Amino acid sequence: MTLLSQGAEARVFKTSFGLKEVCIVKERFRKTYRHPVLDEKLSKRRTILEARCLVRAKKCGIDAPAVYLVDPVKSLIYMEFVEGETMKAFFNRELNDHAKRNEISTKIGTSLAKLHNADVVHGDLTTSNMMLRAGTESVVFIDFGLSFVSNLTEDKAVDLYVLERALASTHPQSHVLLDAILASYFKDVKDSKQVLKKLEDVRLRGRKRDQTG
Amino acid sequence: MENITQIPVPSLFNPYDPNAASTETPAEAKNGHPSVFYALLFQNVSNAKELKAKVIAGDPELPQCVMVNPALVLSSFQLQTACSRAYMNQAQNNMKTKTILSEILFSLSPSLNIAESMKLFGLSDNSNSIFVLVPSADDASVDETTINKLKNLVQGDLSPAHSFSDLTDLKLLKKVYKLNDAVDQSNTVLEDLIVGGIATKGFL
Repeated sequence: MTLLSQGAEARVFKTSFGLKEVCIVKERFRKTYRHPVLDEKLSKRRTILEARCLVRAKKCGIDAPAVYLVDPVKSLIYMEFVEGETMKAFFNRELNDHAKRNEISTKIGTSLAKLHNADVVHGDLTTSNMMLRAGTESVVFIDFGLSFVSNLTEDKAVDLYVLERALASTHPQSHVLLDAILASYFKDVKDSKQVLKKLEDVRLRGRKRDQTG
Repeated sequence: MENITQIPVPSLFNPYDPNAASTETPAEAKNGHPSVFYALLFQNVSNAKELKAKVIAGDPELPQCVMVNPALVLSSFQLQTACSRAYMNQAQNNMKTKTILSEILFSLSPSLNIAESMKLFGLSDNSNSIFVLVPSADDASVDETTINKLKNLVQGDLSPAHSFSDLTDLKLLKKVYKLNDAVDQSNTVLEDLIVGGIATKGFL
């Protein structure tokens, strides 16, 4: 069992799970700064929501880690270990291969459209939360920790806006990537006109909605 | 024992808690459950009705085992997940059924209805092939006496159990697990979805 990474919300371990030689365990650890009762409730609810979104995403035809086991009491999700590199690493490595970058960006847009068509909003779209599966080169979305189910164009537009900002802050020439992603996204997404219109609104005002008035 | 497929039941993950009083490291934590299940496949079974009656009555003649309908089993990993889920429920005193063996059968099913799950995934009067899952002895070895007992009880041929998908009724499987609307229908994705369904069942 090895610790792969740790964030503010959870730790990710790599271990084995019976017939699967490698497996990821994501543990939402105890937050001592929260009231224990509240902490337990939040961790449990988020664990279950994440697992459900993962399964739902898989069902709508996009590539995401398979869920092996959910332990709501210890706030654990056992899931597939995806072999491959993060999208961030890939884009940074293939800085000059424009055709390749374009091809992968198009794939991202198509997958994202499928995800949104199934009303799953990822909530934390960054190039670190996408992977390129070794071998098949399919785009794998990971970390559904902030995901939820919603059919509002507002939520989908914010999802895109988050991605846009994340790209701009991590990759040089991000607009090239973004254009390719959005082009294929809007080709496949339902209600593309409304989402595009909302995205323009969100760009003007930022991620948070104005609560005054 | 070339006729027997092994289904490991991995010990569950124990996060390291720096505040815990115990100095026991996670590796030393005891399983508390059998580490392997042996899956025996009987084909051309002629006495399913009799066996079913024995299972329901809890006949003491019948060794500890779970009898599963192979038409709804796609892979050994599906069985592993159901076993893990059942033992997790047991460890957390969260079992929905009375025994761990029925809990395994119930875990396999995506339904929350126990009777319906047993009917679909367990024996039926006219089954002619059966998967029998036998928990390992304490030292994870094959329990020969149990297997010999089963061979005497089940009137049928013990066949190699590695060919899981040969006996799968894909149409029924997809209906039961509600996978007809899944976009990608390849076997690997179906397995992932089935396992995901088993893993998330009952959590809202």
